[in-house]
Amino acid sequence: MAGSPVLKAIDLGIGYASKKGNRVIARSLDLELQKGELVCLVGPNGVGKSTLVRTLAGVQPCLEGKVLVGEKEIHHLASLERARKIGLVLTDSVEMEGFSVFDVVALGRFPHTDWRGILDKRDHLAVWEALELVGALDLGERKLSQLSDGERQKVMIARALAQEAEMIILDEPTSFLDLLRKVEVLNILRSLAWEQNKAVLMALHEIPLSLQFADLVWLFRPGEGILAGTPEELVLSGRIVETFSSPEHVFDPLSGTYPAKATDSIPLYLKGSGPPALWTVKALERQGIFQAVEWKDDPSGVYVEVLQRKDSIEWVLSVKGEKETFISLYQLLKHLKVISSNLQA
Amino acid sequence: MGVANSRRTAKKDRVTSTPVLLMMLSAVLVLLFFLDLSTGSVSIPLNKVMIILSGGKVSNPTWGEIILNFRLPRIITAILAGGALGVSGLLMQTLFLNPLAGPFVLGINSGASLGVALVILLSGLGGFSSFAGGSGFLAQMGIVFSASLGSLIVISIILFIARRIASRTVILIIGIMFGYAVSALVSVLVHFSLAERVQAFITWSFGSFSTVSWKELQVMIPVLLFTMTLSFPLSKPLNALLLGETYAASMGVDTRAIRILVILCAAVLAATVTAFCGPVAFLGIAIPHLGRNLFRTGDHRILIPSCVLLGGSLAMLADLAAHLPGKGAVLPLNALTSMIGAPVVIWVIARYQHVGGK
Repeated sequence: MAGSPVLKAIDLGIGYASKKGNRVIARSLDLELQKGELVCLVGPNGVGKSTLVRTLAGVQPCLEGKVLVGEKEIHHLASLERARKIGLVLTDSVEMEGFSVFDVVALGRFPHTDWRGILDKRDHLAVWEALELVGALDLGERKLSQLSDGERQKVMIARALAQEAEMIILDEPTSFLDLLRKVEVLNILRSLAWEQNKAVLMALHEIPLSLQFADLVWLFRPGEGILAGTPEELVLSGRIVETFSSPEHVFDPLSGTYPAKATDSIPLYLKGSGPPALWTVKALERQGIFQAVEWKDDPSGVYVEVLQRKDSIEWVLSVKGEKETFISLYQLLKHLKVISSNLQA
Repeated sequence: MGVANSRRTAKKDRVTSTPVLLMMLSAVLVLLFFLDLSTGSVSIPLNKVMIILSGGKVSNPTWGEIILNFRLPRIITAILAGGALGVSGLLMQTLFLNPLAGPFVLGINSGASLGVALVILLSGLGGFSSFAGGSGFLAQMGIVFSASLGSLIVISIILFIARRIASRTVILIIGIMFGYAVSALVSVLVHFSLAERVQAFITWSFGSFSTVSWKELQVMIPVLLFTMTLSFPLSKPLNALLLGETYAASMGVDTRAIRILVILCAAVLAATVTAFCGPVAFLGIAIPHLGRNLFRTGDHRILIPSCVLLGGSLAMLADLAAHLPGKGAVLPLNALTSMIGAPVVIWVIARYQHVGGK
């Protein structure tokens, strides 16, 4: 991916300026944003993702160093000029009483229209195109107040697109959306980067999603600054796991969860295949008493065979030759709990 | 609300087009104008009113005197004051992103009152038979200036607090408390002032359009017209500000400059009206809501002119009602504007319940 970056941070220090003195959250950040790439900014809560995103978008001052848009420093740009370069989408869902979706997206034309904000043919076209890109063409006539959170966030992205900026910067825009809406939004953003050749930077809470979608991940580590790399590199180097783990809870980047540790668990001999067996293993992991191991002969062992019937699943439990069949995983887990307390007694 | 249901309301939204509504409102304004001119302690027939206005002579010379020197300035004052308060309320509601903001509820009037009280009660400026009579141009400008300064200080303090406290309801309560605190200062001033000045101040504080004569209008008309005209080009950034300051900034609004301009316009409008007519209750908060509901829009390019028209009409309506008892008896203006405004405020609180906590 050649070409010069559209946005560049040089020795940047971010934080909050106040009269009593600046509170710097992170310093010496050197970053580059390229066209045609979706960059996800991840990091633990409170590390300063929002602050960084707002500073790069030019709505919060840089405390040290500088941010360059093309050749110019971002804070030397007139606000209208900046708006033609960078579109911003924030976390919270907004309310605009009495405005239609079209009107809201048309606000994105702000840096392109005259003082009255009259829309000409080109502006209309840009608004409808933006709505089409986020898959919200049918929402245009609706009132914003009638939309769901997911729809509203799409509208806010369309508004940023209507600005026709080469960069779009988003501050956790999917926080209040369910998983399906999150994936929808990420797909939209990725196609914006890949097909519209925009530079897209997005602060994101969900690590698995950023690993799935990002061309480049910016891993914001407390006290250390930012590590940039492809998702896979960052996983392979162990830095992702390191950043999101604590001594008690080890992060699993694939599932994006913190699996229960199997330390003093009892072996359980499991037979079965496919998803039923897989999810049985997961259920045992969650319960944390038994650990599924490969089937072998052990007269005092606990055995579970998972059988896939026509439209049901059966679990056959055998302990010391006694067999019992369960048709619900819940019942099986309950029974296993009883067995474990007998074994320990 | 189901999807089908909300679609239906969306269709119902477009009953009458905006230009037609604006024309109808203008017609109502003109109608009320003539109605208000012809009614009062002396009833003057409409055709005679027309003759007098067009410069003709009528059989009864006192009618001409009544229309030209009493009712006309009073009604022009009402139209201007109502429009100015409406626009001021609209600006404040957008500035604070709070549907309950307005000159009266946020204590902006109280700030103006304090300014006026300081000038009138301490300096005795404007010897003040009506707060109008006799005082020179400079004295009047001094009063407008001090009222503006007072309201500017209050609006700045409230805005300063609003940037730290997110809850709209809390801001509202702070505004009301601020109003009380300022009123307390005013009452201390009143306590130590000369009786005749106090009487004038109390009359002023009831609110009235009739204390304004042509002489005061020479100051009031240009100041209000200029400020209202100035606020219209703010429509575009004001629309963007409805999304919040960060969004507005990201779309190219110079939020700092715009905020200062909006505060200045809102304060000067509210303060000038307050200086001349006294603290007029509730019109400022109620008018923008009526406008939004009538025009079914939040677009300031439509709302600013509609607030001017609605404000003018409502103020005349209140003025008409104030003169209804006849025989020279006039009801206090604030009693009537409160009767119009308070229900609107209650309706707004009930309607915006869900945003109350934010």
